[in-house]
Amino acid sequence: MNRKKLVGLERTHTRTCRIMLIPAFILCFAFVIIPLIDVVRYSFTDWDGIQPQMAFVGFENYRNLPQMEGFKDMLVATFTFAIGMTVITILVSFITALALDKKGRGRMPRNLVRALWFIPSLLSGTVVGILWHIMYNYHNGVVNTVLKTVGLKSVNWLETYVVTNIAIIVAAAWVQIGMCIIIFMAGLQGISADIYEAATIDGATDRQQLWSITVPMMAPSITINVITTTIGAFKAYELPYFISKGMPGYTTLLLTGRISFYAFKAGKYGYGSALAVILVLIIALFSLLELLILRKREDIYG
Amino acid sequence: MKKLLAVLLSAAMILGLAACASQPAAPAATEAATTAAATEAPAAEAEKVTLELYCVKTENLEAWQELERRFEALYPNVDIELITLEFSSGSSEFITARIAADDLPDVLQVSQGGVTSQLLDAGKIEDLKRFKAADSIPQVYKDLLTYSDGTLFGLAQGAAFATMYYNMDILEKAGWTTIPTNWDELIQCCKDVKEKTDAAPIVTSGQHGTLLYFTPELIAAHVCGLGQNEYEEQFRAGKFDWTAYPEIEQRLEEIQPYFITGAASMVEDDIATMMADGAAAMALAGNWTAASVCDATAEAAGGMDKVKASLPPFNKAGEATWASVAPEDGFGITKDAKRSPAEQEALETFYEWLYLPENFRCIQNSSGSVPVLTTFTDDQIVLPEPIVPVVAPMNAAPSILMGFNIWTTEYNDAAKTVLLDWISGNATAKQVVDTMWEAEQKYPKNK
Repeated sequence: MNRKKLVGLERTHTRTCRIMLIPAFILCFAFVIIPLIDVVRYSFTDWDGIQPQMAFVGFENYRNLPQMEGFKDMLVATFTFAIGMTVITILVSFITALALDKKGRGRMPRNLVRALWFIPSLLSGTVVGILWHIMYNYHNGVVNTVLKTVGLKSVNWLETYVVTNIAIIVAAAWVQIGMCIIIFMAGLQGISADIYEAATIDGATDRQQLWSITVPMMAPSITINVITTTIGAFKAYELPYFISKGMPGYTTLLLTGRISFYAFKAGKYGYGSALAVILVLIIALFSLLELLILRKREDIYG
Repeated sequence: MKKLLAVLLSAAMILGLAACASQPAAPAATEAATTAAATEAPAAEAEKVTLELYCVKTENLEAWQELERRFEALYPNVDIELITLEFSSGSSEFITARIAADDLPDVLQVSQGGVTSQLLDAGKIEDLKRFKAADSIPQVYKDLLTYSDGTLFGLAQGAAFATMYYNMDILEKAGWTTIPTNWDELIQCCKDVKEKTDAAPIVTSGQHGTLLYFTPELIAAHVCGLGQNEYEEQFRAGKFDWTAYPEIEQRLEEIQPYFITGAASMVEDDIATMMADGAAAMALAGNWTAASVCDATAEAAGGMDKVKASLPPFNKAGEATWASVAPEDGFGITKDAKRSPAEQEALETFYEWLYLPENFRCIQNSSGSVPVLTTFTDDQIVLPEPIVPVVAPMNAAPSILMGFNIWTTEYNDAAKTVLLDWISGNATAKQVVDTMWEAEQKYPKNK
């Protein structure tokens, strides 16, 4: 094939790719970019969300944020939830994926266990929130029933400081773990058995193999899981809300819950939009940081 | 081949998008076709009309469905679409979203403050003074659902008041053969129940704001020595100082230990569940759930004769008992310039029909509300047995408006949060009064 023909093919290929991207671009522009621009615009106004009139108020909404009821608690709750959920999800799903990946050990029906872990991620946040709210019920919830059965005292899961934070993190991790397991297992299956075989011949212990082969080679999967879980945690609204309704105090009320409150209940759409902009910035910053750190690891081991 | 496939796929996607984009035009085309068909059809055939009715989902849902069936049978050309959402499941978000879409339900449940105020400010609700139905509602309830600009925006569906329900079986085990009649007796009764039985003294629902406010507002009514409407006036002016009355704090401290553990996270339905389980001796709830709470209490107590109800006895011995009252949310009509004359006519017919006593009794009797229609005859009202003796004292009692009638959304948020913390033992009574007073000054625009 001569060079001219190759260049022509290349151009055609590029043009086709561009055409194929148009629908996705239109959808993204209409349903992501334009609303995002609107949210930023509203955050500089006093719009109530209903009337057509709105006045430009500059940075007033942003300046007033620290005066908001429970602002500090909300920030702590949001970061605690995001970090706690990410840590628990990644650790548990990684360990579970490792256990499920061990071929020929024990009689554990792998697919069944994998399916059981995955089912929660198919449920909507609202359903899971209500489910765990019922499970955490002080009087007849299944969690306290189990505690009482083994001779322990009932815990007021939904109204106790710190305990409620743990309760919502556990429930949220329960949903996310299944998806992470699938990604980790795909990563694990991509590691060649030859590497482990060579390491075994060289006398490497299981622990050494885990830290020197498995973990480094799983870096891309870890990156994906950490970033998607963190973003999901920052965006979570219905699940924590339906479990604890922000109680006790404002300590489980996340940023998303506050956005909803100001935009849809208090008639302060502009204020809610300012909070939404802050959330977008936090997510972008966290994702960037995680990408930088984890990509560095990928580069080292990749 | 690849090129052809790519072009075909792109064309398919663009066509798909185009098809999506052209969807909104479809109803207009259909409408035009329908209009054309209607012109050709015999004049006697009435235009098919769909009316949307939105109400908060409560235990009277079946009554609403019954009314829907009856009206549609009477007017076959009108289709009533009933939209119900639970109070805690985004009902205000639903209305806000429909406002944004300029697609409000034709008839909707309205209340004081909140989204209703925003609707009124935006001029989206009709003034109901011209409707005959308004003549059958007592002026006091019309006043409560009249906006500051004079618009009568809703007709009340009943009168709500705070009610204390008693499981006499548990009270008897605690040594009480009669119900407590004042604050000191109530506290003593709670103490006895806690010490002598396995049940918790009082159950209430923290997640139902109205029920949560009963305690502080009734305490305020009984200890501040204010006259009728004085608390409301001071509160609206941002001058009701919760910290100026030490007895409010003292009473909050006294009663807190007697609420059932977990009350803060309970929803309204949990009250009936706890009473049915015999887990609590008394329930501080609304009269609007009288049917379910009384049935549940009777189940645990061994019969309806073991169920009693009264106004919450927060009064001092020998002094009057105050009632915490409110018109239960009313129903209003939205303004819509796009509504056709036939739709408007059907809407007005439905609204007048709804408030006829023979129809409205379905709603009235399904919840145990105190009737507000002056046109009701005695035989049309069926109240749960234990509630009957409470109606007369309620009507005669001095009354304080339920919190949600005057508390704004942001005040409500601050007050509710600290009250939930107090009821679950995480905040002191002092923190409650301090926060409520601070919030009252911080959010002064109380309606």
